[in-house]
Amino acid sequence: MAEARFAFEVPRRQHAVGLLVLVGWQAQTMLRAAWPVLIAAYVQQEEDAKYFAWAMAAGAVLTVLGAVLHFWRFSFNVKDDKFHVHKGVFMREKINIPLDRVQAVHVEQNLIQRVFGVCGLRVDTAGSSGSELRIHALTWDEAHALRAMLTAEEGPDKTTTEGTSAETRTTRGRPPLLELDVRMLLKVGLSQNHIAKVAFAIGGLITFQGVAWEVIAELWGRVPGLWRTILLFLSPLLLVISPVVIATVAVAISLVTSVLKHWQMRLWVEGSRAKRTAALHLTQGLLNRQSMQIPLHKVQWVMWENTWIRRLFSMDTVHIRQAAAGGTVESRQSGSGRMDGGGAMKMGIPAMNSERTRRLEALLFPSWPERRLVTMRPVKYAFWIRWGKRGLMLTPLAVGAGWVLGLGWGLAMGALCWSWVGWLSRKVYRGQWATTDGRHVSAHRGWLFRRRVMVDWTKLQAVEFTQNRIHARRGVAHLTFHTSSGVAQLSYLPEEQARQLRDLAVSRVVSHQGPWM
Amino acid sequence: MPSMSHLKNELVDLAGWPELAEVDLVSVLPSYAKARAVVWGSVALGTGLLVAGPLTALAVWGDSTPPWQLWVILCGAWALVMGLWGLEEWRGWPLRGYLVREHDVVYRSGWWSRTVVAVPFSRIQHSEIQQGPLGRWLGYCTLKLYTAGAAGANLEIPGLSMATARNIRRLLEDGSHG
Repeated sequence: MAEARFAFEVPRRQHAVGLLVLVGWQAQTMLRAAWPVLIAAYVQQEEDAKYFAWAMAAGAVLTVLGAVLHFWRFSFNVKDDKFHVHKGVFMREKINIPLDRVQAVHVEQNLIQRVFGVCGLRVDTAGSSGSELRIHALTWDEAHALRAMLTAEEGPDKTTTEGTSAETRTTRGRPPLLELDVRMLLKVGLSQNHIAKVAFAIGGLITFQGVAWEVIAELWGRVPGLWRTILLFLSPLLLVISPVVIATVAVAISLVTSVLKHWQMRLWVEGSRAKRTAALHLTQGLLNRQSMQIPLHKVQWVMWENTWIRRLFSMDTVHIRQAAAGGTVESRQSGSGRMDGGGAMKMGIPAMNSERTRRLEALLFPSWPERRLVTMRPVKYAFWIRWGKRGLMLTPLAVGAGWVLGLGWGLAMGALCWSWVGWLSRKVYRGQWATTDGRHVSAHRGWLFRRRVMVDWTKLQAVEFTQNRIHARRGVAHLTFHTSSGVAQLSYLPEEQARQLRDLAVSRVVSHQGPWM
Repeated sequence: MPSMSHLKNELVDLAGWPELAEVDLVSVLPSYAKARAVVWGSVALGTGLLVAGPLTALAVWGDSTPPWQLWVILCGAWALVMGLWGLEEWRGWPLRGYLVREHDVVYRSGWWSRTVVAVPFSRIQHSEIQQGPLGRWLGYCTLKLYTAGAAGANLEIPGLSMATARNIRRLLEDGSHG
């Protein structure tokens, strides 16, 4: 057993290298906070050079001191099914986490940590104060042993499980769910949302255009006269080329970032279901390496998303969430995970085709579909109201066109806007539907950017039923299923159906006997 | 077929699941209505003074009197906003109510946009009873029920008597979990 080699019983500090990692980490945060001061000091360098040097020195000393104190005062151990952490320089903090409250443990290794051969550990508990825990330096083996200890649950269920040999067998031998080879990695890179990177590309071009002009001016002097006229004649082509250049740069950025992030990605399941140790593992990364682990029964919320490019490659991205510290669910629908803060604790898996999706579904929702599926669609009113609202939003455009160009153009513009919006609303309306088997709900929405959210009703936190006066008159209502890490929304359902679904969902929660996280 | 022994997956009798009858909702204390009326009244008075004050000052001491259209637009906007809010409060009051059942708490509010939230007891992580100055004066308190994770799933029931709030809380603590 891996755990036996490492003693986590007695309180201990991090690996000695942790000091260096902490210095690096603190320097980084200090620099991030103090860069305006540094720039100001640099600009005034002439007369105040010595102040600048003093400030730098003070900053460095503070950084080192802070790191040493943090390292000195940080200790942890695992005892009596609890993870104990003592930390804090001026305010001593003692944190006790019962092991069954650990939601997920991720091991990660950034560049500094890789240089020194250590790795960091992040523990997510579903605490409402948003305090996930971070250990900065452990050896690779230590980190994995600690993780195994933290996720090996000694719950009350363990004694009652009737471990048939088929179930207790670990799934180590099974092939992984997903292994990204270089070709698939390139596909993932190509199918990213490039539009977000266009801004970066334009920014980059603007930054380097100064250099570019100098080079061009230099070259221009050497070009013979005849060629100059030809080049001048061709210069309008630049207008055509620049969007192409920007697009290429944007695609290149997404390629590079996704290669860096998902390099050698591997996804597999390990552990036994009967002992509740079965967990989804994911490793990835070229420079910063990540190794994530979420116990299967802690999964609260799953979302598949794709864009039209990803549909071309038949690759969805799936986001899996456990109950998050502080309920870190940023804006309800956005699934873009940032690298900092709570974002890094989310598991996002690219390149899920339909076959892998089926396998993942069977793992995460073993009882789906429990019985015959019922499909729910929004009432037609959803389409009309969307068309009306969007159409009214674009109408000023038509009015403007009519004002400037005349009545005919205005009418044409209006017709164009309304039919375009109508077509779009119809697509969106068609893409909005949900299925349930009486225990899970799987909600689809979107047309160009499609999302599918799936939750298990036995893990719900609350059910919300909303309708306004017009909805009430028309017998329409929205339902929102709140889990501890995200929501599933069904909009514009027939009121009676919404009520039934709400009551069914609540009764599923109430009649559910087992643990939910 | 993988089986999950930790999830006891009993069948639910679909015909027999408890239906939420919204007529059974218990309305909250009338003193809370008073509190909302006080809030509405003071905001109406405050914003009214903010709108009318400068205009009057301009008319009395200013070089030129403000055009009557300005009066109409500003006062109209004020009356419209306050009127809609008042209507929401007035019509929404009889709809506001809560229901404590064996396994969950239900709270309904809103007139224009009506929301009914149901939170099962077994999902409530902790509770909080809050009483502000207005509540102390008029004698009501707010019961806050916190669930895990997202803030959208938390439930606030304002306008309870201290005794009711304590009783609901006791019900939660009495291990009616599951």
